[in-house]
Amino acid sequence: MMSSIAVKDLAFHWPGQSDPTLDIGTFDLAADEAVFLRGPSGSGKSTLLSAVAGIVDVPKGTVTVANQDIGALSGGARDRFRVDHMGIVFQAFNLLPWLSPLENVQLPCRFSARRRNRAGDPAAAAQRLLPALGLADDRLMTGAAGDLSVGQQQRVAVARALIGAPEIVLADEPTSALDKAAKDAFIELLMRECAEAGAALLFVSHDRTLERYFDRVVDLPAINGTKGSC
Amino acid sequence: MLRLSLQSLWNRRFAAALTTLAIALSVALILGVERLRTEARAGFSNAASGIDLVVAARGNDVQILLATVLGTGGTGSGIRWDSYQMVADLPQVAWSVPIMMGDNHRGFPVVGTTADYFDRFRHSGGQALEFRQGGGFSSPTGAVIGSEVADAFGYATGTQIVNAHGAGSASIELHDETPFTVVGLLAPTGTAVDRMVFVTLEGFDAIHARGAPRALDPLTPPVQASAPETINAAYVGLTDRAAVLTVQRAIFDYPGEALSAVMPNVALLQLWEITGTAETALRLMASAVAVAGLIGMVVMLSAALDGRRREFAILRSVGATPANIFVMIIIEAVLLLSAGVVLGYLLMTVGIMFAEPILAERFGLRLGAEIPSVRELALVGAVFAAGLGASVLPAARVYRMTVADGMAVRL
Repeated sequence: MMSSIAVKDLAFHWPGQSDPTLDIGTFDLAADEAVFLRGPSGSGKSTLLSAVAGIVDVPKGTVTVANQDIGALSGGARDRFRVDHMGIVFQAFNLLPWLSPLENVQLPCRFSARRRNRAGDPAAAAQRLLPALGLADDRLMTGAAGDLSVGQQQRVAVARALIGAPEIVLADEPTSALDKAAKDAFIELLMRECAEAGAALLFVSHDRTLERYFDRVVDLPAINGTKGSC
Repeated sequence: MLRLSLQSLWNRRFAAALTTLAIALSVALILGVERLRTEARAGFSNAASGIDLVVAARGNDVQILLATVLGTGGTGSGIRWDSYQMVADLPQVAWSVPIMMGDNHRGFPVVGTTADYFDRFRHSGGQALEFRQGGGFSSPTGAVIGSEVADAFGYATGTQIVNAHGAGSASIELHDETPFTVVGLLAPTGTAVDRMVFVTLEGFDAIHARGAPRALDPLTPPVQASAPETINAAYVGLTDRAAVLTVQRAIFDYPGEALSAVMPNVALLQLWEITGTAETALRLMASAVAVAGLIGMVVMLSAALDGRRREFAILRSVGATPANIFVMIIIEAVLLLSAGVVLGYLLMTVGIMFAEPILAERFGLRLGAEIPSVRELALVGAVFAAGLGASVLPAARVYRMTVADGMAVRL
């Protein structure tokens, strides 16, 4: 099976720090695979996610995403590659409060021609995604995103990550603000949507109760050669 | 990007509206001052339009102009009637109006002239004199009053007035033996004409003639209808304006008397150059206001940036590059500037519509709702360019900020 993410011999340390935050021999994520990456706070989960997403500089040949060597790309090219190939669900959802949920969902299509083309008609794709995620109310879809409840914002954030069928969905502790029932509902939703879209999912959390939903669980401290400082 | 910028601006519409208003006010003011300046200059140089030459005894051009057109000061010596006849008889001269000065009516200058004066004189860019009441001279004792004089003393047609000798208001010698009857009131022009009292040449001359008969007997003419011996100056109109230099030379070379022939618009522009400091001050003021407006825009854009850091980070997280965000700020500035410029132009046009009647009556300034001149367009362009230049500052700051923030995933 082709791998979506391949990390090999990655040593990374933040500028100004002498100890590396990451020292990973190998880490792979297959296409269509859903992986739960766990580890306590400060174990380097977010740093690994940033390395995969191309937010931080990594050495050449260490991180390959969708067959692209991330370290070989310039800053601007990494920005474009990220929006072309990855959907990201943030812990704080990161919706623009003054746009409607429909417009928030379409944002990646505004900046990525690839996502736009894959979505076909972005407006229609957003109209299809939101009700599929349980947000069918027309008034809610066209009102201001700032007026939505946390659960509703979450659905919009997931729809935004999925629009235009990116190969990989990254999720950074998106459930930390939710109670148990809401967490389970959210994870089920995310898993189902990723499976339908054929996207690989890398889910980062320290909440071990969620492990059972995933194809594979990776314990970051186990593969990270450092003690982890961030 | 444009739609996103518009939506983002709409989200901050109150601050954006204030900024637009500040820019609009600067643009309106800078354009208004520019138009006022151009029109003032044009109006001033047209203060004696229609007159091709002013003939007077040899002297300084500006001084002659001040005395004969603006009613300030005197011409020194007079010119003989036969010299005036010589000028009037020149083949290129279409018409001429003799002018006598030196008396005043309660401080306002009195001008002795002929009825032609009211037909020939043009002011404020070619406007003919109009009568508010009555008409031109019908008898040698008729007087025509400028609007300011009429308003100052409440004169109407039929009022009898008496003039005094000398140019100042403190004159003691009153010509009270030869009163004039007001036969016409001029409409306001915003020029020196408003402050003048016009009497007939015969009447003006007669009050100075020794032993002039008193106008008590209705059967005898009150004054003699004969040509005066000397006059102060003459307005001259030519059949062909191209001949102005030839005529000027002919008058200058007249052997009978030392004469000057002044081109009024040239002398008026000389005078305008002398008073040019006020013009410079006006322009400085307008520029200062424009700069203040632009600083307002930069402050508004910059102040909003810190608050919008999250907005930019979110945009970055969904694929916007720092360059996208730079462009977004610039688009925002262009939108604000465009709205400000259009609104400012409208403000100025509406302002002029309301101010025009007052300005025309009080100052003789006629500011039409004209199409913008090249200079005005250049000014607007300069404001726009300066604004755009200024907006690069906050945009560059945001660019650096978003690059440094990276994609702040945990906001």
